Amino acid sequence: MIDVMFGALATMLTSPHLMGLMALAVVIGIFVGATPGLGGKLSIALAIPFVFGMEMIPGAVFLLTMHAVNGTSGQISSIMFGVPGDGDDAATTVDGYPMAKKGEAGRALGASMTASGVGGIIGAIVFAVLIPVVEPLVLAFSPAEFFLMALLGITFIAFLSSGAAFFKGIVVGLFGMMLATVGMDPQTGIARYSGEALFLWDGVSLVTAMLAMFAVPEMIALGVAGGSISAVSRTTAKYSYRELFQGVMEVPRHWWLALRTSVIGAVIGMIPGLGGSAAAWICYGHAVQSSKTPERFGHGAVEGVIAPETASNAKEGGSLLPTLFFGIPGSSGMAVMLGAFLILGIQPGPAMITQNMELVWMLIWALVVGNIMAVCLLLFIARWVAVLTFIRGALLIPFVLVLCVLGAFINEGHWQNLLILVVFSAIGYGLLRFGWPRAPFAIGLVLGGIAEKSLNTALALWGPAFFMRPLSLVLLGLILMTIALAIYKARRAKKPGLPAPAYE
Amino acid sequence: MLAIFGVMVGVATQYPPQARFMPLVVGVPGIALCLVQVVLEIAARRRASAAGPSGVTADGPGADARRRELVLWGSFLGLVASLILFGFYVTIPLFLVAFLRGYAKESWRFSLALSGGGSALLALVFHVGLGVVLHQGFLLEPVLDHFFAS
Repeated sequence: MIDVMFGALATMLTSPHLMGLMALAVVIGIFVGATPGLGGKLSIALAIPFVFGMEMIPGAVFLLTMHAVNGTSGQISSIMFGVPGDGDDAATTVDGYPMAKKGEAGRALGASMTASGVGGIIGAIVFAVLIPVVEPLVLAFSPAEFFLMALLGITFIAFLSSGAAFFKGIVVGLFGMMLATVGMDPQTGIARYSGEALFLWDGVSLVTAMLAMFAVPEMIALGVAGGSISAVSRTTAKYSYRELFQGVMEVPRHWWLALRTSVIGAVIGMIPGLGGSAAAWICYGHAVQSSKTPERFGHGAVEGVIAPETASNAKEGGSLLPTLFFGIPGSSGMAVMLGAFLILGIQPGPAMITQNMELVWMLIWALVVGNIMAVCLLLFIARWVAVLTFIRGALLIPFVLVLCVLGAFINEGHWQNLLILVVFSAIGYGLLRFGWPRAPFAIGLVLGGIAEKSLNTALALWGPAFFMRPLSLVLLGLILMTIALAIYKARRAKKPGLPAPAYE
Repeated sequence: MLAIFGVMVGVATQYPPQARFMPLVVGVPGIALCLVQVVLEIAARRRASAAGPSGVTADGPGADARRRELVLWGSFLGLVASLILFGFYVTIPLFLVAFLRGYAKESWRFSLALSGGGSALLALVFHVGLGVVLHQGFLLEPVLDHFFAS
């Protein structure tokens, strides 16, 4: 394993092609991360057309590096203007923004960027360390477990992304799975839901569906909301590089906290459906609880910046583990990433361990090297990147829409995909407008094919009682527990006098 | 969602048993859960109306937001229709200029510069860099032939 591990690093560092792609991914990742409204799932969906036609390893390394550094630049607007780039950055705002208001913007930025980079690196290390532990478990999984894991993934993400409206999440997840059945049935050769439309015989284009569900609705919603993405005045807090360096040194000063929250973040990332927001808030809470002076939090405590930043970036390494080895995305961002991996020809599951360990190590190193590159670059250019916060939504919308139509067409070269884009965009916008979660759709669509194949194999091997296998029973128990917990929480939320759940 | 699941399950029943198995495994629980959701929403509305005028009200977007919503959807549908009929090379620069000038209210100079630069960049990346052959449109060639045919 050591050979493969360091062989992958050597291949990466000595390949100008890969390093060039990573540098490009870092720059794009910083740009989209710092621009509120463009980060997260949307940026991956928009980047898919650019990796179309690339080989497996360069394409995957490019996408993962871009995704990994998104969060590092996302906190700039949180700290300097109190505007979180996305949900992951909200916890950083609690102490980061007060620090900026006290004239410590440089210190807060230095600490957050370094913490983010350190978190990303430790997250990758946690993933690497856990590979030998997870290996026997992955290899013990049969098709029955993979089918149940797909259902578990949808149940988890529906529970966490839709709060009390759990059934909405499940329905959307099932809708994604239903759409995955469009096209030629692998068993009978019957063209399902596609009739004479040849372009649908290979199924609904993943890229088109992702762009339609996430990118187009977000842009329409951004335009409907009107005005600038950032609602704050352009009174940028001034800071010097000396202050920035002081912030950088805060991370080694609080190394024990950074290490703890990184590991917690990585572990949270491994739990399917738990996103960066949960990791960031849990670790923020942990920092408050473990502090000797908890009263400083909320008023500009640097630990309140370090803890959520390490956690939210460390979870990327963690969430890669279920994504690659079980085909179950650790987060909604990873769900879109999984779709991109499938497009690149990467088949998640036990084959990753038995045949593709070089790719796994490449991705781990991409997280490490990408984070180092991003932090080094951002420490120099953060003050200019902050200007991106003030890009008007109206300037962004046409370019993103153009990228969407290009992506939908380029993927398969069918003009009919543009019509599919319109139909699914309308559905996606309807879901967004009426408060239905969209993340379960991505998981359902991506896992639908794997789930069907696994179900058919499991039925052929063990018949209808396939779920009575011990490991299957554990997964079934987890699914039922999640459903029971969702119903309990929904009923509890309705009772007067009780506080709403935190995720709402 | 109920309608979508209903239609898809209905269509699936006409397939052979093996081909309809997965659509039914997914679609039937989908219909059941949609019905549960409908019941939950009806119950929530009844509770809200029983609570009187202070209960939950479903305020839609304001008139201005609704207008913007229509304009944006119109722009998007126009973009797709134009792409299919006239192709990418004509539509993209025109759409960018029209959107920046008409919706974003930018100056002519800025709109032309930004859309020109943006279109050139996209052409460089996709056409030159990735070697992608983009859709030419169904009407562009007949229209050009009509006007420029000798």
